[in-house]
Amino acid sequence: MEISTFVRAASLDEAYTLVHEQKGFPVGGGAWSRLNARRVDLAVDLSALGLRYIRKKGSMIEIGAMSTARDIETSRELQAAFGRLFSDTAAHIVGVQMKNIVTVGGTVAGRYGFSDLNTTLLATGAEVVLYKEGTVGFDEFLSNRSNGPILIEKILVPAAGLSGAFTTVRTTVNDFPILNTAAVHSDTGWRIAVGARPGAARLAVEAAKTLGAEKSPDSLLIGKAAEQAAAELSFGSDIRGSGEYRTAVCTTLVKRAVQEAAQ
Amino acid sequence: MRIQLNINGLEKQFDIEPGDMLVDTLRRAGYTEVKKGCDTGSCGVCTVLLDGTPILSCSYLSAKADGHSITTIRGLEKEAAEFGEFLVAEGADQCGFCAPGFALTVIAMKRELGSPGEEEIKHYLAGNLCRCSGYESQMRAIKKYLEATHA
Repeated sequence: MEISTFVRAASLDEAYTLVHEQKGFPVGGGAWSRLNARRVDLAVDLSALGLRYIRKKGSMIEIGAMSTARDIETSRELQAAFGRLFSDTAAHIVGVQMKNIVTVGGTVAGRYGFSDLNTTLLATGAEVVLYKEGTVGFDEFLSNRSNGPILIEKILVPAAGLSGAFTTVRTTVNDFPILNTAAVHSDTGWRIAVGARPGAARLAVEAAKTLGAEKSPDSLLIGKAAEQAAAELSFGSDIRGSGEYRTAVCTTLVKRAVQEAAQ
Repeated sequence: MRIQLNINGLEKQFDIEPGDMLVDTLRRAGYTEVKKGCDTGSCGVCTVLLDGTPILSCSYLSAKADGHSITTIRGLEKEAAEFGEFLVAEGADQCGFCAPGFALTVIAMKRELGSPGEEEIKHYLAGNLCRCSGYESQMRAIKKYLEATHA
């Protein structure tokens, strides 16, 4: 990344002004700066804004935009609410050094197809809080490819009564995923998200409907839902796998994720 | 732009381009113990501690490090030498190129996790690649080092 000017914002208001009025580019962890060929006139560092926290507030867990992938992996709050869901999700991100750099805000804002975290956040029904711009559902956020300015303050994750599981297949343990899935059960039923298709994660809505509201659907129903997820979503090819392979693997991963979440 | 870093306990100023990565800033200033390997965030040889936390300096903007403390392997000479004896004893140190980043990560792991088990060790060190050792000898060295130094 070629940067002309680098500014460390001193407040969220200043960051908002720089991003929205001066077309500043918000920098989270900046982990992809080396590999990104983008030219940036004004880079806005968000690290001094107090956005690194994971805390429970009522029935929600708030994840500050500058929380790192390592924070996600080791958070007691997330572990208490979701068991291993978030630690399993963050487990494969390269190594502990990279996890200490990568931020939640940067991952979400990038809408990366390869993201493990975005798949899990989508499955939990999380919301993205854009500073001064309101709150957007995670599915709407991921589907919106607009390049307009955004300043993510935090992510809200509903935590009451949810259980979930994350499954993935990759060539090596720390490589980008060939495919990943997350299944989450709540009082209102199931949410199944599939990512690295290789596009950004999407919900398998029909598959979730098939499972109904029961937390422990029988194995026939789980198998049917898994096949439905593979049928209703689109999969493409890239260096890591073909669309055909991803379609086949989707059925197995969704099945395993639902089975684990149902336990 | 000008940034200030505390490197191994000493305050230093650097003139950098806003898009410079930390590994390049450090190496240009003579901290060549910070190795440059894949340069894509995959191999771990460029590991340094930022305020005590291991990061990849090839994937960290120098500008973001302004005002923070950086520890290279030279800043942990005593601990690194102590760990190095276990590496040598197990035949785990060969070409040595990965050693600075590897040793820093092991020391950071010890500080963070205390006395981790084998799976925790593998997980913590997953970002440190070594093309010589095959990892078995390194694992033996780490276990013996942790056992010998665990309070």
